[in-house]
Amino acid sequence: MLKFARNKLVTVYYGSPEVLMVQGVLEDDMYGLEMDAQVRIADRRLISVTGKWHRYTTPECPRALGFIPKAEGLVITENMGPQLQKLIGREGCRHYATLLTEMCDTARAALQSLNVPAAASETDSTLRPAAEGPAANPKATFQAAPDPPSASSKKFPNEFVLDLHVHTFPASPCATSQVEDIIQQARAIGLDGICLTDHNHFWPPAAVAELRQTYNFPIFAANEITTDQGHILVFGLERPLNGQGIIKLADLRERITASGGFMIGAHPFRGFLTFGVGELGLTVEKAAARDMFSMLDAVEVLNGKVTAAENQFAAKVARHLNLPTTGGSDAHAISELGCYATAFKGPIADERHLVENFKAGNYRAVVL
Amino acid sequence: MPQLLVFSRSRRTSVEVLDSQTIRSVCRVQDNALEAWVNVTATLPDLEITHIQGGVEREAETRCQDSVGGLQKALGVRIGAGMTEIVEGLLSEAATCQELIFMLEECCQGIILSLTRDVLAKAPPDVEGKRAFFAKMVQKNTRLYNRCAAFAPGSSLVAGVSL
Repeated sequence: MLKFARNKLVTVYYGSPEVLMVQGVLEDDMYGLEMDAQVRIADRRLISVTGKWHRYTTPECPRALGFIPKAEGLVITENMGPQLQKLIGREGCRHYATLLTEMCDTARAALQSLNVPAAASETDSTLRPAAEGPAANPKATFQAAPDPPSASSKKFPNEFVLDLHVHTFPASPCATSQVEDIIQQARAIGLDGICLTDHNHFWPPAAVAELRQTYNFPIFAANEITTDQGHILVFGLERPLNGQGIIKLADLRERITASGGFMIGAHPFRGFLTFGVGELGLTVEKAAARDMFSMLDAVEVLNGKVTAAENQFAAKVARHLNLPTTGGSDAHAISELGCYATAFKGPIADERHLVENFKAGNYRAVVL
Repeated sequence: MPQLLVFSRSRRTSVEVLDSQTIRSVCRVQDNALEAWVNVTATLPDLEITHIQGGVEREAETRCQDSVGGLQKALGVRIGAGMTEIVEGLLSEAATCQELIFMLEECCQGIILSLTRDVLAKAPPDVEGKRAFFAKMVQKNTRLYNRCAAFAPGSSLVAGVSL
């Protein structure tokens, strides 16, 4: 017996010599919806998009219909899924975004079959462009940095508290706060320092040193690397991975061992929107048997972006394996700082000193 | 002018539980230019991909047929958060056919949706019961907050939810 099935049907026909009509239907066990779109052939632009529900799950799902017209004006290009999920999925409904993605791709195939050339320009001004590297001029919006709050005002006065997991824009395109704002907020809430762990992004040592000096605040370069086994917080990476795409965890382990670094499994049991690994019946013993844990130096058991249950499960697995544990906010915005961190027994001077302290076990995960 | 179709596409993704430790999803696509399929088998409850198969029945060129073998690069990947990034990253070099990669992702999404269905099946039938059910879900998993219109500020499902 089938447990689940999803059907999508898209049809394309001429509404006029200048316009293609694209109709789509999505029907699965949970949702039933349809969409109508019009595509101007000359420039492959969506000139009209509407949607209609047949079946949905929550009483508030109909609110999503108001967001569908945001797709109007887009030019149909290849691989529009991520763009449409950002534009109408995230604020409206991911299932409408999924169907519209199918419709756009089908329309593109239809245009190709009709020998219509691709549009000369394919721009979308509604999305922020992806960017590489740190903020261009960290000094531009900041004046002389005051001294950090006194240790006595903090929750852990005798320890050096670092947020080991922080993202900044534009180094992490998914983040919304610039590095200088993150630094200011980290100081304000009493952290002793932060680690910049932007996704697959190598912070040049000189840039980090400049930030450290400019803001008079301990900032350490690190990375959150995407591997075939999930996200890994990497400390002590001395050179960029040079666009290797998704690196295998085993290869990363070899590379970091050679450089004398340290690897922490980030949010290893991050679950899904409506259920977690607990609901699937995953036991601590079964989870601990995953090969990935034999390649890690520590496990992140306090992460600000997962549920309490997922953090607790990670802690149980780490305990089962006798692996040390860390905490970090996984902040992508300044409002997300200040939940979890890692407390070290003494001050940390630089990245090398940080790795030495990791290897000595001089730390613990803390709730702020 | 008669409204004849110039192009149509049908895509079906289905999921079945083979046994207490195995779940399988199949995605089939049929349109004017392409007819192909991908199936993914994963373990329960770990959701690790253990088998992948694919086939191209019809296509204008051989681009997808030549890329079927590249799908094996996704073996060992766990279906879960961040999976799309991992699959795209692993397969984009090995497989030049974006459609096959997409179908593999559809298979994985199908498995996630099938498990989501189990959760949603527990919602009470009445409207107020549903509101309470989903509000509790958001409270328990704040990732849901503002993830779509139904769970955005202003929705009754998040009224009173403390984050």
